[in-house]
Amino acid sequence: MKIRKTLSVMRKETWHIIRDRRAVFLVTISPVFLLITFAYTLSVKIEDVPLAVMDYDGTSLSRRYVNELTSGKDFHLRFYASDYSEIERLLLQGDVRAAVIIPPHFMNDALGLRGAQLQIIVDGTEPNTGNFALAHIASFTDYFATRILQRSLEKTRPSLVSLAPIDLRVRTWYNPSLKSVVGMVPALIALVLTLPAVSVSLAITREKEQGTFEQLIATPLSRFELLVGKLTPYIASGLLDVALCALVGVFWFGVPFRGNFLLYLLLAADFFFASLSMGLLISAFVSSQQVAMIASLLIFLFPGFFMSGLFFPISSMPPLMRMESYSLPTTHFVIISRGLFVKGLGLESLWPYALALFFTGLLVLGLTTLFFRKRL
Amino acid sequence: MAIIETENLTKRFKKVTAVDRLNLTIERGEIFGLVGPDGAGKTTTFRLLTAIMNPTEGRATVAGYDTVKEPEEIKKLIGYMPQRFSLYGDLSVMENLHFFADIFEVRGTEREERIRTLLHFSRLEEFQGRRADHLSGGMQKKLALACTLVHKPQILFLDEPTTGVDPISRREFWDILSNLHLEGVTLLVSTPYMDEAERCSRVGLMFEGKMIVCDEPEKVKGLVRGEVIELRPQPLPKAWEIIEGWEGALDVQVYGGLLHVFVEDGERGMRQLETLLASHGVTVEGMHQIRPRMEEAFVSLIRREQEDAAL
Repeated sequence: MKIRKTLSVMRKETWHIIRDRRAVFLVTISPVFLLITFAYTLSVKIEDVPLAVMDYDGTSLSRRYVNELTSGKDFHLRFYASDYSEIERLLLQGDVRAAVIIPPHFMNDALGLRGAQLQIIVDGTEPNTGNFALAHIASFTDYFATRILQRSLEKTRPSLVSLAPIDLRVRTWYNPSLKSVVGMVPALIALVLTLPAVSVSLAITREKEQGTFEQLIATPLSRFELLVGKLTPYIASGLLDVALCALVGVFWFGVPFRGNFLLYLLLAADFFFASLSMGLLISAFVSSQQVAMIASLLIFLFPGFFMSGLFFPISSMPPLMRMESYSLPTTHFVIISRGLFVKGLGLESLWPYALALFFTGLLVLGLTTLFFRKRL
Repeated sequence: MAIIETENLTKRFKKVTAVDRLNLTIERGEIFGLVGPDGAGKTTTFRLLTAIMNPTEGRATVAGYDTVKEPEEIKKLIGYMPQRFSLYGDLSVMENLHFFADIFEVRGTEREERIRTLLHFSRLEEFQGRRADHLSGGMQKKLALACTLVHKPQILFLDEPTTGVDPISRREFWDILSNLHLEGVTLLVSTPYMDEAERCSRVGLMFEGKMIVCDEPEKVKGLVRGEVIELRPQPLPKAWEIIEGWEGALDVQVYGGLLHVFVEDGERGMRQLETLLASHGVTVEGMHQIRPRMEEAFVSLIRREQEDAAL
């Protein structure tokens, strides 16, 4: 490999990017744009779940239960139902997502510590909302019941009131308010940064379509010089994206950046080395830009979404999927990005992922150089 | 010494045989013209010889190097200008030249001098900063030639370099090629224009992958059977019909208002034609014998080939 020839290809490739408005958009603005869109749509919180209540008891206790349950942001009391069929109709039509049914003698049984009954019905067609409603009503009811118990102990055996069997204190680290955007943005950065790989997959196919490839392969330019020369400018543009995305994450979404930014850039370069080599592999063996585009989207964006641990933890995937997941560069960078961005982790704990990316890049670039031919 | 040599060079694609057992020898310093109709296999021949495509069978050596085993050695010595415009349209004239100078490792003062010379003879000096895709067709071709010349190649492969270029630029282009020829560069040029074929030291006529004829232009013209009579008959369609049916005519070709009739003996043919046409009421102006041109030669050679294939 001759440095000067490689540099010349790099310079030419940079001109191609800078002078093509579409390419400029693809490598600079579009990842940031995607990041903002995804972050807004994916970090929507579940709030104001519509609720129906059927109160057969009609006592001060049952009313207090309903008031306290619906006083927060979680639930919105939409209907007081008078019978079961009405509840059924409301759930069926989707007017409410959950219903609470308080039977007669609720107050009597509860205050008498005789095991009062309460029924919750949840619409299971939308599991996220359903789970949310179930969990919140259940934990609120536990808390409500504990208070009844404490009050009755106050009257009968005051000495035992402070001796609750378990005193649970919850603390969430790194993202104390459990804002989903904090966990989401660093992972989404990893996802949107697969876009440079899509652009690089067009880099050689474009030359094939325009006919410049025929001229280029009739020169003494070596395969490695050509591939490295093509790859480098896209890695550089990717690093620009990393900086832009991190800025948006910190200043727009208020995500704290706790790690070392230079290390973040370094590991991002490592990630680009792996993912862009894959893009280049596609580009070397496919003859049209269209096919290259579809192939790279299928390889990077869609599996990146579902298999990189962005939404679903990799540990709960079946073994075969887990293997596929770890062969995606995005998966490793999701871990790196989350760990470094929010937790402030350093190389001492991120090195396995960095190494995996490095070897993926080496392997893929090696294979591409080996099988790429300066032939039509 | 042969600088290009092929031995049963064959390239088959799925359905067609683009180049069929080609045996070709080109000497150092020749200006060799490759002619033939579209789809004859000219471009594939260029690709095989420039070592960017592997043959299905047979072999070829360029400057003594095997095109399959030592392609990179060949690529250092040759310049190849593909038929399609193959420079970077978003790069300027100067940037394209410098890019190719970089790739061929032309450096220092030699590079500056070379680029200055190339800009001068291609008359692109005033357009140095213009994007290549904003140049006219003729200028693009000249720039492409300049880029392939930046490293002073020993052998130049030009695939239809003047197609789509106006006659004046075409003439300029050939003056450049003649100069290169005088400098000792070996040239292999394909062209659809017969006047260009006449400027070559040898021409090869390709048809359906085969080299039908390969000789000096004068000798190729000599291959045409018989002699050619040119006449301007009135009315032309009727005259054409009559002569087609006449057993004395070997071939008839129409050129505008003119007819070219191929006969065994020119003198006798003219007398016979005169009486034949007069008997049918066709008036004839300016009948005279001409030397067959390259154009007539190729048309009749290809027709003969087609007739043989039909038999």
